Amino acid sequence: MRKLLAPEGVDREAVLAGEHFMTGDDACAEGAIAAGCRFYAGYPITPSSEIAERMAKRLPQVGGVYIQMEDELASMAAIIGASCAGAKAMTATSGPGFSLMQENIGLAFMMEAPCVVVDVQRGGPSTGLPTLLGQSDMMQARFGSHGDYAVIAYAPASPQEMFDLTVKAFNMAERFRTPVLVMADELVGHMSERVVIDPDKIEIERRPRPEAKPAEGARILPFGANGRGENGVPPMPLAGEGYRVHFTGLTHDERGYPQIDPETQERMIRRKIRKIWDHRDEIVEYEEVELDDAPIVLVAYGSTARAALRALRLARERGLRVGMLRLITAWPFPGRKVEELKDRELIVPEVNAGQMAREVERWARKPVHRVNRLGGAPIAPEEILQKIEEVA
Amino acid sequence: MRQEIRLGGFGGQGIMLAGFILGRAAILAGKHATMTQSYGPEIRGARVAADVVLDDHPIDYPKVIRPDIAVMLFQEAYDYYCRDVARVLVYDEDLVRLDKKHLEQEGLQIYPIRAHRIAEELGKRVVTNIVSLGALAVLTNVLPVEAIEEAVLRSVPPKALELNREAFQRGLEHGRTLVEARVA
Repeated sequence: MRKLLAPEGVDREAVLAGEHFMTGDDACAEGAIAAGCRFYAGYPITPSSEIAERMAKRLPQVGGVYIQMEDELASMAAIIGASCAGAKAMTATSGPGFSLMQENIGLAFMMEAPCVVVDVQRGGPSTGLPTLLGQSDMMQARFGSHGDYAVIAYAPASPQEMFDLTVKAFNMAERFRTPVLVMADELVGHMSERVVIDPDKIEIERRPRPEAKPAEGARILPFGANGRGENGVPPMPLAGEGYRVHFTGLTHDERGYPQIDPETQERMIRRKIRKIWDHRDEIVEYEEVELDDAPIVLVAYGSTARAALRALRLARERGLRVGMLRLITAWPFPGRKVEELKDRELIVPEVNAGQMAREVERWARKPVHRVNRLGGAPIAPEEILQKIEEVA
Repeated sequence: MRQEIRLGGFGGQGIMLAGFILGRAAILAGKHATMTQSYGPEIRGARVAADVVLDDHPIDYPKVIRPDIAVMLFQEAYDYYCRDVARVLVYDEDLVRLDKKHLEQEGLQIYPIRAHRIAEELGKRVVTNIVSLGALAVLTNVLPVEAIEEAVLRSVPPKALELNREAFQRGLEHGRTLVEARVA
């Protein structure tokens, strides 16, 4: 069982070093292994099933555990349990399963249990389009669980990013003791592309741990941290080490004991939100493409950013100055950057009825141009180009 | 330069593997490649297509927009996925009957191949895809033959290595014969 505990650094024997041609789903699984994930609990669902399949094969090879659960509620609960016992833990799913995980994603936030949830988005609502592309869970990623909370969510645009951002998701989960989402989509999950895995470039972070040994009378405050800076993330004792602590979904005090009153709610929930929000400048990531001279800016993410990039090039060939802001973190949202662009014409293409467009509008304080498809097929570069020409 | 290739067939024919091998060969040859797939809800026996995009630079849009090259090994896949092809159309003449539209398309190079029949001669229909890749390698020069062969050998099960090597060689010979016939 010892090996289930997250390795200190990069476990070189476990990392699939080299240059590969691989799918995004496979790259995601390899990213998890490289980051030290040694526990996976899930319920396979298209188009994420290949992640489960690869984890089922790979985890036993590196001393880890794969469990196929009875459903997604249990999958999420199992990875929270594994996390509390010290393992780096992950699950992967798609739309309907992501909905079922929402309550326990809130539990992971409340218990401050680091874990990674991958959603390879397909067309919805309900069972929708099982084998086909969608990007319509972006708002669910932010607001899907009840109550107030903050979340970190990445939007990979290539198999290489499926690897890199899964590693990063684990690092952020550990550093901030919080669930982190990888909001992939069917196109990125199922497409194959060059993926380079270099163990020398992988960084590993681990959650803060208590300094005091679990001796009789040791006073551990697993939820005790003041609201700001590094101190926003309290040290995490592990189940089975001997510390006497309490973890619950109820509003709790610094020791973890239920304390059902407005003062504790205010103090504790605010801290849990602020530990992420106060560090948003370190968490937020985006890519800028030819923004400087561009009066027209595409704001895109995930596989749609690839179509947007092509549209940008086609537009430039026709003498239209177009740039792109590609979201790498969807949440926290790069609001300040969008604020800087508020005087440009903004076009937001996405495979949904307009979700991140609302957030772009909120920061730009004006309506944006939308290019939408409700799922089933990617937005073609020509469709985005057409909108650019309309706006220009 | 961006080149788009679409491989079409039926589920179980090894179309996805063939697409994957082409992408892998591109990586071995130091190029960039993406491979995406299309299929209906059923997998086996129904039409499928593997889309491969090759480029010397990182690829922006990963899907095929208009294939430069199409390889079609099944009538239904040809009818559905091969409405528009720009430069080269390779098809299995025992399995696909071409549209008048393509036969009359100016500048389209058309190559009827017999991949299915050659695979049957080798005793294993499952290598139809590998025979086709051998023929494609000669007919289009899309990637170095050595890179495709290396990718084939790295992508098939070890116990089937010799069979696939032979299938690829037979595909190469078949392709050369077709090129010579065309020149003559």
